[in-house]
Amino acid sequence: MNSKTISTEDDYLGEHHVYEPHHVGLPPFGPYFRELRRRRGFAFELARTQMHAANTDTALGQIWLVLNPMLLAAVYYVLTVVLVRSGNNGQKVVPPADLIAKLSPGQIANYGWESFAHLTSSLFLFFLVSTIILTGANSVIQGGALIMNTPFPKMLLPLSSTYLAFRRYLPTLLVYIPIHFLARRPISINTLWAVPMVAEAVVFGFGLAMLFGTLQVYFRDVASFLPYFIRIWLYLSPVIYYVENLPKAMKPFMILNPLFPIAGGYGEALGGHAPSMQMVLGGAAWAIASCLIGGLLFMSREREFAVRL
Amino acid sequence: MSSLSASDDVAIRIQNVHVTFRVNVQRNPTLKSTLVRMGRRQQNVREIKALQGVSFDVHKGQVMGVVGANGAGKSTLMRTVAGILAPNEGRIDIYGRVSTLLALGVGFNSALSGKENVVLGGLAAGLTRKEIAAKYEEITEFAELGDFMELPMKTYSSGMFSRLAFAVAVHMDPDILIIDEALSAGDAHFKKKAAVKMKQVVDDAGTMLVVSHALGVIKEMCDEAVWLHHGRLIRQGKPDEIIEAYTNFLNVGDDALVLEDF
Repeated sequence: MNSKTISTEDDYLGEHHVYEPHHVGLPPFGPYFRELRRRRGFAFELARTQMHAANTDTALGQIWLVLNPMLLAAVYYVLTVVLVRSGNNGQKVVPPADLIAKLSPGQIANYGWESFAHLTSSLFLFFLVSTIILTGANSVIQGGALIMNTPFPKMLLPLSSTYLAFRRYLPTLLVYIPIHFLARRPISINTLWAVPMVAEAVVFGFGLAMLFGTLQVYFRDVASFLPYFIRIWLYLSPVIYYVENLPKAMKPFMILNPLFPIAGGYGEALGGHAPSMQMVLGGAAWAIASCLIGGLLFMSREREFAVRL
Repeated sequence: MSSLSASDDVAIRIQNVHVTFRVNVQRNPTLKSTLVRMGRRQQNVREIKALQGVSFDVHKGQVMGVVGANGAGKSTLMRTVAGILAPNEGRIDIYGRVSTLLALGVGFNSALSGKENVVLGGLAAGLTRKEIAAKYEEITEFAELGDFMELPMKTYSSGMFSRLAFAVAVHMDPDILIIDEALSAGDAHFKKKAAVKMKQVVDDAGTMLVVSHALGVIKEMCDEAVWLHHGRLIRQGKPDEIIEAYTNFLNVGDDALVLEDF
């Protein structure tokens, strides 16, 4: 009665394809990821054109990308170094005992700069994750008309947000590098640990982008709540403080905060220390869990998006 | 009925397709209102059976028209055939490359220029940059947009918008073109041009599935038509017969349909 040929080359285009109800709502993974890979150019192009629309590919736009994190860094400098010092009756702020063991004499003498370097680097990493989540949450809604007209793996939309956020993160490194040297932070082989920690941050953010991108389709106010959660999360993460600043009693609970191992490990690496395996593996576990949960939810729901938009 | 013929010349085979939506009663669902409703134990979701056991074949080179009143399931059928919506039951086989004009997808981001939208739409549809570049000139020329292609689409008139969307859909060299005719609007001049182009697509051994409320268009363009009502296929046949039955129904109303067809 019906033809038994099943499409092998293309789930969406190609010569023959079959549309049937999905098993437990999930599309077959093989064709889905093949198509995702084949159409990845869309994700990059979308990010590029969005930067273009926001004028970030012009000279002034590029400068703004660097200027914005610089100004933010300046604000936090005032908050954490200048204000704390004046609150300390003008005396130099002394690092906590655990931290002293890790810092070089130059860094201790220069503790104002050291804490500023820690603050900016961690803050920029935090902004990377929060930008991925915030833009990812809106990515599906913004793809509205395209979703209504074209069959394609919708995961390209949060993927594009992730790439966009990463592109915006890169100029912040330019701001950080001189601060790193001004704080007399060392450069060693351990500094390279920063790369896998950033990768964990990106993968973790991508998972949440898919999660919130899906939730935003069903509940249009999720994106309005998000900034508040993110702000609280910022204060709960080792961004404006060092891991060593934490009271001992708090430490066991920190495993519940995904950004604790990720931002903590990143901070260690930039301070010239190898992050503990607990941090590296803990961060990786959170990143994988976030991608699995976000990804499975997204894929199981994505064929409903066209109805809900 | 022709749907029982051999499968080798079939372009679209729709078998017993059911699509059911769980639609949120609210227009803009929010977490807050959902929690409030849950607190009051109010039902927030309604089930809508948009398609109920629809089956028919579209043969290669055939132009199939779909008619039906609002809410008949026409758009759902088109989107399911295009692979945008998943059927809850049944199966759809597509033999060939599909291009769709179901929403003005090409202008999905109005902050971007027409050119960027064409490139993004093409990439999402699985074309390579090379293929898009090869078709880009033709698309621009056909849409008669000239320098506007470089401007953000928010500066376009609605006619320009739909001209570009139509130009993209027909220039994808589709084997199967699925088109919601209401969207292919434009001025009289462009309508004429669009009709010529659609005929050309069909002449190139293309297949077309057209939804239209303009019964004249169905009569003129289609070889066959189906009439949908409340998600069921009421009748399939020659466009003249279908249109006659459908207009009779429109004039007489629901009661006559019930007597005649169930």
